[in-house]
Amino acid sequence: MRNLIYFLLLSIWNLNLMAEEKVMQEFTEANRYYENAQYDSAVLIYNSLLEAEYLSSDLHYNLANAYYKKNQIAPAILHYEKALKIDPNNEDAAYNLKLAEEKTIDRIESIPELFIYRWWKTVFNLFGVDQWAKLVFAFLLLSVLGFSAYLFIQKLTFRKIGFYLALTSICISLFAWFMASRQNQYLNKVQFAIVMEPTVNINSSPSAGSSKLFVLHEGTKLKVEEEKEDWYKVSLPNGNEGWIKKSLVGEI
Amino acid sequence: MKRILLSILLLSFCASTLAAAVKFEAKLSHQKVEVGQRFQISFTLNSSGGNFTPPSFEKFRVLGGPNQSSSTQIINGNVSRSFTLSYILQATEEGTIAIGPASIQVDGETYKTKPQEIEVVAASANSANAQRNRQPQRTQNGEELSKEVFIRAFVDKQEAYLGEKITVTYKLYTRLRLANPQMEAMPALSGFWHQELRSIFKDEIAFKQERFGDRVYDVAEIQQNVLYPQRSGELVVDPLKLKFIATVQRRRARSIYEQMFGSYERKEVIAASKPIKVKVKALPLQNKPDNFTGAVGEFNAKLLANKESLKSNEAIDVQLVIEGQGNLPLLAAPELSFPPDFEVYDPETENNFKTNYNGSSGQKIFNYLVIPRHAGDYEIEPFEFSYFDLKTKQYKTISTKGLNFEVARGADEESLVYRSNRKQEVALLDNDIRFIHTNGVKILALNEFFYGSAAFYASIICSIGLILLLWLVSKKHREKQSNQSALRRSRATKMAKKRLAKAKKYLDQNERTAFYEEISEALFGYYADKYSIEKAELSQERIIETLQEDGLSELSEELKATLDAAEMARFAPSAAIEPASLYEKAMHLIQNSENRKAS
Repeated sequence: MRNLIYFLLLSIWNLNLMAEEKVMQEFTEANRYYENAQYDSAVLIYNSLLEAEYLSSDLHYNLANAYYKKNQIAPAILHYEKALKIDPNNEDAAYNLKLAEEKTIDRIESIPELFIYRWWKTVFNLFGVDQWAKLVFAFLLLSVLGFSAYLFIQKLTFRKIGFYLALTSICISLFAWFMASRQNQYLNKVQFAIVMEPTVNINSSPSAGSSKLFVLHEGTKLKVEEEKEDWYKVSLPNGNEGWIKKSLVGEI
Repeated sequence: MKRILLSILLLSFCASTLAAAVKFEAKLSHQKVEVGQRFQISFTLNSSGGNFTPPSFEKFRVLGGPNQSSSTQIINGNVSRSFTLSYILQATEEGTIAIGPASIQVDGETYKTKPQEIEVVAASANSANAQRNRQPQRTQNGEELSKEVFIRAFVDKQEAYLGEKITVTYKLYTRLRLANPQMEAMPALSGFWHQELRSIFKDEIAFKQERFGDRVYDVAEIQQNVLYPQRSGELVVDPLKLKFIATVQRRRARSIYEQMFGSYERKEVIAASKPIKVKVKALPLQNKPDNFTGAVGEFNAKLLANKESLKSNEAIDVQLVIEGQGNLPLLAAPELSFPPDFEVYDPETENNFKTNYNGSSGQKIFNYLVIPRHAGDYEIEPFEFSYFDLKTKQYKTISTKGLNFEVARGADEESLVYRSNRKQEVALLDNDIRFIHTNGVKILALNEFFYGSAAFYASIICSIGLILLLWLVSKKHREKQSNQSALRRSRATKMAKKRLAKAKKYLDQNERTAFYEEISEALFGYYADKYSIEKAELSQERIIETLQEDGLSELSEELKATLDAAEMARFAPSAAIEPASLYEKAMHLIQNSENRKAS
């Protein structure tokens, strides 16, 4: 039984390994195009990798860079945001995103967030989903260690330390699990969108004939509040709300 | 007392002066005047006041005034001031004419003059007044001449809608030779927007012969205006008043020569038309379109642009042409619904229409210069233009075609955008983006996430399993250990007694060293077994500690003393310690401990 499981795991791993090798080859090729300033080709390959359901903060980051070099700001911003969504600690993506945002047209004053929310976001973005998941495991192991100390060491002090270690580790582990699930939810749900067309209208209701509330330009980040058929209800950092056609935005 | 008297005196003096003070009088220079004679009316106040209201002088001509004069006189220490307002008037009608009171305010109180009366008599032919003033002469002759020279005003309709064209024509009728026309009163035409079509001062005037009443006149159209009523109600088309120099035959010859050939003199003639009332109807409120802005007539509208596809920041000329007949001059540039992203400049208006007797017709063109600032597909929505159709007496709305623009990204779009940035971040723009990631890149297939994967759950289950396993192992271990200690405890007394017995034997054999050794051993062993202390940890301190923890501090001190004594005797045999008592003590200790345990 045990052997069977090992065999299965190994074979899956092996398959993955082979696929990964191919992916890495293509990725390196795209990087080479980028280095030679052949951004169109680079964009093509990066996109094909993304379409093949590969996910990587770096992949999005490189693609965004290529778009930026092609002076396509809206897709650049979209992919920087995606890179940051997958890995909130991708500092280069954050830096380049800031540069790209400077090239957008709309300037929207944001309402400052509540400090508790800011703290929450800082903690939330401390790690990506897998990092949180690994933390879950790491702290579980630590708790095992603490627990065994509690159980098997005669000396009272060590037993006490072991007990509290196990308790706190389990708490942290549960918290990390919670964060991982939140991150996972965050990754899989459309939270934000980027305006992809040069000029778009924001309507007052989800129909083409409804009155136009305001105009936005490419590269502007919108928060997706709701969706209805081919429309998103979006809000801006300054509190304005309206409906926009799904085809006009790129989902993060 | 004196002081009070003095102040009363002063007060009464003041009061008397105040009471007597204000005097406001009217004074006429003549009580009886001839028609045309000048006279003066003056109002005098012996104080200073304000808010002077003169009486109405409607029966007189005001030739001058109000003239102000003031004087201050001091006579025997009495100060008297006077303030005079005077008018110079001229009598125009015969009869006894009343002049109403004038009023003035002094210290908040209103004073009025007495009404005055003046008798006006007909002017005597040779009076000096008649010579001095040409007015009566003109009036007299004017009355006669008004049959010879006059103006009539005609309007093409007596009733019109608001904004509907009315044409007014002033015709001059004359039987005299006239020269040197001068405008005496320009028609104000308030309530109308008006445009002059023809004027005696600008255009050639052609006279025709026309019969009016029982006489034939030379008739000419001297003024024609197109009017567009601006408000509803009864409006008055003001009269036109012109002054001419007419050549008139003298009635009375001054000499024989004149009798033979006739004598002519040049006289001023004033000819005026009568005011005409026109009824202006308001436009119906029923079915009034929201976008109606006052156009009345019959119109057509077109929306044009000079290009359809362009780059951002290029200008487009959008033309709105309103074509037709009606109140075109009054049309204001309408607001077109340009996309919000367009920069729109104020429209230029081109008047491409003519105004004639029938009103205005032609085109009014509004030129809008717009610049799309960003790329995109834009639409200018169809423009709806509403007007009131005079033929059907109903509102009509016409719609132009909409315009579509394809705006491509212009080369300079970005540079334009940068300007709006704050300085700090412009500095940031000089920097390039950071390079792509090439090393240490991990690319995962979407199903390769650790979170939620089998490995994730397996690792969690394994860890929890491990904890459970450890717990079980430790439980087993502990059970085993507790069994062992129970065994040792039960053996403890037995072992101790055995050792003590052995010690007794040594004592009897007088083997002192072995005896002490055995005593220590017995005690150590007993407590080690009793409290399950491992051999490695066994020491005197540990035992005493354990006893103290068990609440047997008395016992522990006794034990300490006994053990110390045994040790001393072992290594220093000379010490005067009775081996027998040591044995007794050890026995006693173990028995005590045993009792303690039992209880």
